[in-house]
Amino acid sequence: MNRLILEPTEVGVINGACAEFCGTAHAQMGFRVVVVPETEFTEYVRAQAQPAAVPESEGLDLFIRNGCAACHAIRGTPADGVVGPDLTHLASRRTIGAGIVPTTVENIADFVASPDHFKPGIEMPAFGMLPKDEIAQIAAWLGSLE
Amino acid sequence: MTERENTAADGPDQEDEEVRRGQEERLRKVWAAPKGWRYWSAVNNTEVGIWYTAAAFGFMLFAGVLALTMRVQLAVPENDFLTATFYNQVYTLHGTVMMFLFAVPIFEAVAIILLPEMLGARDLPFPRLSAFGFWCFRIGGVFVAGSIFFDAAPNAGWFMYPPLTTDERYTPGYGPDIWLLGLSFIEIASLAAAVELIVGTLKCRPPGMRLNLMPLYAWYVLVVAGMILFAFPPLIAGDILFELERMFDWPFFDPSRGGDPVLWQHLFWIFGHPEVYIVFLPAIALVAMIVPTFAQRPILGYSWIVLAAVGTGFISFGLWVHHMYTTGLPAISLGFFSAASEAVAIPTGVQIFVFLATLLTGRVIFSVPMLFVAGALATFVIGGLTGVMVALAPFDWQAHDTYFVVAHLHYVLIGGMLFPLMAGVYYYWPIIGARKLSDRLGRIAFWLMFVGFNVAFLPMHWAGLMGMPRRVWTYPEALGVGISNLVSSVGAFVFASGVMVIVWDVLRPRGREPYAKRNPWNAGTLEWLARMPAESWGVRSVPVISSRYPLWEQPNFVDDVDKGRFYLPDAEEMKRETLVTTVLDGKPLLCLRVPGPSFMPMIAAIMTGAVFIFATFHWWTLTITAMVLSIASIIIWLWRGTAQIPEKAEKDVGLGLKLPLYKSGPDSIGWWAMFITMTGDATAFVGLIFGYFYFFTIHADFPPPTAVGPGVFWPSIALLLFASAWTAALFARILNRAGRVGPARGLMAAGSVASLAASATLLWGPFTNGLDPSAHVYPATVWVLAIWTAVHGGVGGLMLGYCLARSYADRMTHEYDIDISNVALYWHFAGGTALVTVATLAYFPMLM
Repeated sequence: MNRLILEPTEVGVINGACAEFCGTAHAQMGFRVVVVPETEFTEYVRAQAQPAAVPESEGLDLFIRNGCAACHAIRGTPADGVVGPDLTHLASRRTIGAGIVPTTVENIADFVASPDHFKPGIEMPAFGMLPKDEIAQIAAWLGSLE
Repeated sequence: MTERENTAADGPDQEDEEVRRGQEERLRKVWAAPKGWRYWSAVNNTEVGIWYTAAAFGFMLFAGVLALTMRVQLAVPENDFLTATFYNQVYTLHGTVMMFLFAVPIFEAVAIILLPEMLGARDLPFPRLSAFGFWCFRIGGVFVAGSIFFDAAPNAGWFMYPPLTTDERYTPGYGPDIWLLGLSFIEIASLAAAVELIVGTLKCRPPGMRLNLMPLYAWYVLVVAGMILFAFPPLIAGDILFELERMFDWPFFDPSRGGDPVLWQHLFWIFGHPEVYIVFLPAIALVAMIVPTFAQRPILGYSWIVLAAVGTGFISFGLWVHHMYTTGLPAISLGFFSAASEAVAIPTGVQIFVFLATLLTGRVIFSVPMLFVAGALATFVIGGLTGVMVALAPFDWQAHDTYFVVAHLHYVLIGGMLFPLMAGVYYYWPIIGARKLSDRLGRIAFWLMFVGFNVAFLPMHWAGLMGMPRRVWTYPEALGVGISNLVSSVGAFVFASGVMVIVWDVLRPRGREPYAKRNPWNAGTLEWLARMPAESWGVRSVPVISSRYPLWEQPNFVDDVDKGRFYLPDAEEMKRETLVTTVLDGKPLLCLRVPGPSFMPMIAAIMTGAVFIFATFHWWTLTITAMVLSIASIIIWLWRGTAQIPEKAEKDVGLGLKLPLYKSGPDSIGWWAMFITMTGDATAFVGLIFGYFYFFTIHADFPPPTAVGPGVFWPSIALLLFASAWTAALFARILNRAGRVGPARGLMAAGSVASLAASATLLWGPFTNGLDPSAHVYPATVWVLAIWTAVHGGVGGLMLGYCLARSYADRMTHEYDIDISNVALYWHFAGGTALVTVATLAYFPMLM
């Protein structure tokens, strides 16, 4: 295992990309390093450690009922899957799918409907067969998880 | 030579035109290629060489089309011309095909055509082996390249790094298996060609051509074939480990069971870096032949260039880690390999300066081949300079796996390999096609290729430094490399149009265009003795050489050769013959009867190919059937075609010289071929042993203290049995030579039984101790070493049985003993392999 240690010297957003060929979607493995002052960073870490502030919505219900929780965890809810990314503070992220598109409710909805369209070879199944309004509700709810 | 000398010999009168015409008719008939459908049974170097070259160029055009589809996809950001999964297949195949099916085979192909001509030999020593190699290459190549039409091509890069490629989840399907098995098969063909070319260079030179009079091309062939011999076997060893992991879950590269993915990277790059020079040196060899011709003077610094070629060959084996700077190896390793990588620039520079000096001191005739040579040197120097940059570890950390490296490697390969090769095509075409290629089309092609190349690849340096990674099927617009990629794509098509001009120039109908005059460029080396159109016999008589440029420096040379005033001007017995000489001084040793056309090499190649192809799809019954048929076809081929007892002990080869027609031991070519093959085999074995000690080095406890090994008892018994088989083979040879055929036969039988028993006993150790190869890397390593050695025992047993049968069939006698002599040599290597294996598996763990 190799660890890469970076020492930031100025505040800002720095782009990175996966260099070693890693599989089908190698072209889309972008990442961002956000450099902030130390106090802001401590605050960020504290906020991320909190469970989700789950708003009252049918979104959570649909999320559980359609099986999303089998893979995704949302701390503070019964969702505790470990296969996919943890979505506890999804809305606080700048992008979804490792830098492919900005985090908007619309993008989340499209992603849920056909993830393969965004990221070829992704293991998440497409949920395009769900009624449109259910997807919209799930997306809106996920989009509110600050 | 004067006429007086010639008439002094009591041979035929070469001054009589009638006599010469009769000789020429016999030679023509003996060396003629078969007609009709039997044409494909031809084995002569001219036919096989041309098929080989055409096939390799075909694969190049195919991989070129793949490159163009990639450039279309990348022309604009976020394009969807190709899907991600298909793009990954395309880029993997582009690299794989260009490297394994074009760059290396084209060296073998061109050398098969040119080497005998340059050495005044009528053929290479093992024409059927060349043919076998060609058919293997053709079958394996079509299998690997064709997989893309079934959407089943390998898709994880030409370097196939685990764990991506060993895990079914990430690489479902047969892609990696097609890569591993298809290419292992082609690697065998490469090794066959290497053996052929080394023996050809060392033993089939004309009388008087001492090593230091060899054309530079032959030197390069010797160096490169030697490099293949030491570079390909580690990859074959790696392929074996890899395929065992994919097929049977033996965890060589799986860290959770003690394996290590970095081992594959070592084995791959121990092959992969010399590979770059295996590709580069033969092309520079063409430059070394072209430059003196167009400077109209001998090459300056002959010894410098030889030393530089040998030096490059050596250093290239100490550079492989510069492909692995980012794997987290210790800084001391990086420092060493960084320094070695810088050092290789020195011999490379020497070669380039020698060419420049030769041109500066000569009167340069400018022509299409020279144009390509000039373009090659300029392009290669740019690639070399960026190479010096990426050889520095800190710079490499930034540029690693970006388009900067893509630009670098294409400058090196196209400047160092493709442009010189095109120079060679224009230069040597008269030998093949009896006419020069078009000067006008050649110039158009050169400028399209040269400009197109730079337009395509120069911007990639910037794209890379701006952060565009390699092997991506698309890139976001925000990265800001859209314009640069569009320019690259346009350049790629301009380049491709230049290639098409050459294809047209080669294939266009010639109508009544007259033949070129003989030696059209006024060159000085033997290959230009060829008549226009060339005769199938190669040289009219095998000349005596006393100069590096006999056509320039030996008086009345061409006329003497043509009038048959040298050796072998006739084929009295209607058999294909060429001379074998001593390794250092080129003294005549033997008149070699070379085998003629046969379908056996093709059949053997088809059977061997079937083994690999069936194994890819896990059709085990078919695999084993094909394996049996493949062994049978090889035995039939050997039985009917090799070590044939001649009708008389010696013959008059001309100039009053009588030479034997049969020799065994180090004077024979078969002994050398066995020696060289087994050197390659031993190298592969060292690759496997390296694996064992690699795990010993990276783990605090290897073998794991709790693990059960193969024990000491059974391996020791196996070693005893191997030693007795080894001794039996040795004494069978000695007794047979001494005329005591009966006891010799007894030893062959006993040795055969002992070696089979040895193999079984060696496998019994791990089996009876219940070693489960999929549990941990330790039992897997034990098994793979035991199996490797057991297979050698099995083959050795088969060989001794073959000798026994030959002896009973009177095809091997106490005088004519090539078979047992070569088998005894095999046993030296097999015995050594058994000793090292048992010492490693049974005794080494006791030291700890």
